[in-house]
Amino acid sequence: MKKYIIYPTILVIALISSCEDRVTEIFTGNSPIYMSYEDLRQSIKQVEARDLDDPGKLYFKDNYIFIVEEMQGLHIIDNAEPRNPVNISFIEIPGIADLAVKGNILYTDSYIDLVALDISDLSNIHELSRVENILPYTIPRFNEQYPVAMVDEDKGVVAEWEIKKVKQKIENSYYPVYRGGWNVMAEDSGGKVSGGGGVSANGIGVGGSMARFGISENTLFAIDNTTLHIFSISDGENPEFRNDFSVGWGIETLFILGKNMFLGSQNGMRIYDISVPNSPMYISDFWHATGCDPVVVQDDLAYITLRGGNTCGNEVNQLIVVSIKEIAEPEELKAYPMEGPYGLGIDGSTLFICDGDAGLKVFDVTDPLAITDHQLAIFPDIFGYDVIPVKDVLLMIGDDGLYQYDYSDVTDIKLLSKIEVRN
Amino acid sequence: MRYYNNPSAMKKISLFLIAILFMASGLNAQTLIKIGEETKSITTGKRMKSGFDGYFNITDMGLMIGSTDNSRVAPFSFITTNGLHLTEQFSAGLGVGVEFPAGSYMPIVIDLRYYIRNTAFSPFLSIYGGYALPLDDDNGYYGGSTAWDTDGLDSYYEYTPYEAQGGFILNPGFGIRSLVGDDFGVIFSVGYRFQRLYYKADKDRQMIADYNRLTLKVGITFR
Repeated sequence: MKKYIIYPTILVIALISSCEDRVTEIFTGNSPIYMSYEDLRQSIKQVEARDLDDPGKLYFKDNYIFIVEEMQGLHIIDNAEPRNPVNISFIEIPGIADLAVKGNILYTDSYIDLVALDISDLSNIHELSRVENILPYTIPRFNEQYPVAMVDEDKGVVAEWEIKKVKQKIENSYYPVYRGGWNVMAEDSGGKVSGGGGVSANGIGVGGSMARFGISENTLFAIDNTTLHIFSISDGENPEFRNDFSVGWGIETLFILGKNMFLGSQNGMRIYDISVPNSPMYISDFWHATGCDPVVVQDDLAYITLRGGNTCGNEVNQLIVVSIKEIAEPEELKAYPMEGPYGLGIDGSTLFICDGDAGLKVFDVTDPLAITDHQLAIFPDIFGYDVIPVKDVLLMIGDDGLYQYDYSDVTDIKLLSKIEVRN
Repeated sequence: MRYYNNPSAMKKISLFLIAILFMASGLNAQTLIKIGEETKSITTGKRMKSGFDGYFNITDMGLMIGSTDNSRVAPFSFITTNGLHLTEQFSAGLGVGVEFPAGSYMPIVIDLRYYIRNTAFSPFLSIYGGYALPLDDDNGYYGGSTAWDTDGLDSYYEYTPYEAQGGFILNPGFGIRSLVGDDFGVIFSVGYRFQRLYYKADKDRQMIADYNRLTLKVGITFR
């Protein structure tokens, strides 16, 4: 009798230990090609200028335009003569999505790392330092016609995808952030633009309204969709991580004006006081319909564009003007219908909106309650994503290139130049 | 648990169980030849045949237990097997039932058993294997792939509407049969279940689920 108990018990224990289900999927899909972390950290280098192919974020400082080539690197355009911009160089930065510049140090992301580059000599741009493994794991765009295979973050970052037969075990895990389209990190709005040749040691550059990086004095802010990453750049060459700060969900853009930070999220605008930069203080929210919504702020008015459709939520396409006179209680002044707005920019009383298929629109916003009654110009053939108005020159990045317009006479806006995207 | 909320599947399962009960009661009424050595039941003391011979039915139910990490830790299993004793200690039968490893299935299995002793109380070794037919019209399953918003930052589980295709079963085990009368007994069994279920989605997408489970079952047997 004893053996009928002992032997089965041993067998049962052995069976229980192997009672894990195994579920495998087999499909043709996007399979990751990895770059090891070691290779990633040796990968930044300056090379010959190359054509724009898949331009992303736009940044301006000291007569130089920096254009992100999504996940690939950074174009540097000498814009001393806006009528004749010169594409002078390209920096290979795998995983780049956004940037900000203070003095002659450029801060950017390279997948999960924050990197500081010395741009004092544009013929010899080189890495100064990096904060490793501090930003969310990101992946490049993939072929949306096919499913996406699981990513093994231990193998490195995803450099690219190949379409192949995938066989994978199904399991629950943390998923990375997709750095797609135009809704990715970026800049500041200090707007101190100095003239002269080369990148000066002073001032902060200017980014677009889709920015996810921002600089305020000696602090660099970078947001992902839920978290504000805070870095001290007191020692500019060696940024130091200070804090991660949870800022809600669906955060898309960041705009800094003075001591206030305005975060554009999918369902509202959230305002923080950054007087103590390592510990932002929540001030207020302004809620609106779900949509993709960059925001720019000037004086006591915030301009928010809402774009619906696709993954942006409702079918609401609007320009909303919000009074932030009482910053603890932002109040909507008026909403104007739009076609499908992306980025926007403001300079004085002139507001520029990239309104999707409707083109680039220019408004006089002297009367915030009658903005659409004062449309100064429209360029229906231009599909723009983001704009930077600076010193009477409007930089606009679109799906077919970088445009520059002279808006010194807002009633007669003229095209100065265009850098084409490679077909 | 989709199948609990699926009226169509529940209706099918109910009809199936009613059919099984009818089949079992009809067979129980049959007159069968009794052969073999008489012995005394250790459970009742009643003098009775050693083991079964000829026709038999085993109806058992239990759980297919796995790791707590599994999506379903201990799904239910019910199988009724009708067969013949080919020798006094060896039997073969055909079993059908209903199980819920992931959705509802009807297993159809060949059941082989070897009784170590030809007595009313006997351990046995068993193995059954066959195919599980899906009963649900739609066996949706969350695939493992992740989808990302095309111009956002959010990722989410991609719901893949897989269609169950059925799959194979293999279940070796052992147990104890204790007869409490000439025609009736109870059975306890423990086994290892390997089950491979196939699912298909659009294009060339397929999913294979391998279940490794410990089966604990209790049942009745009669002839």
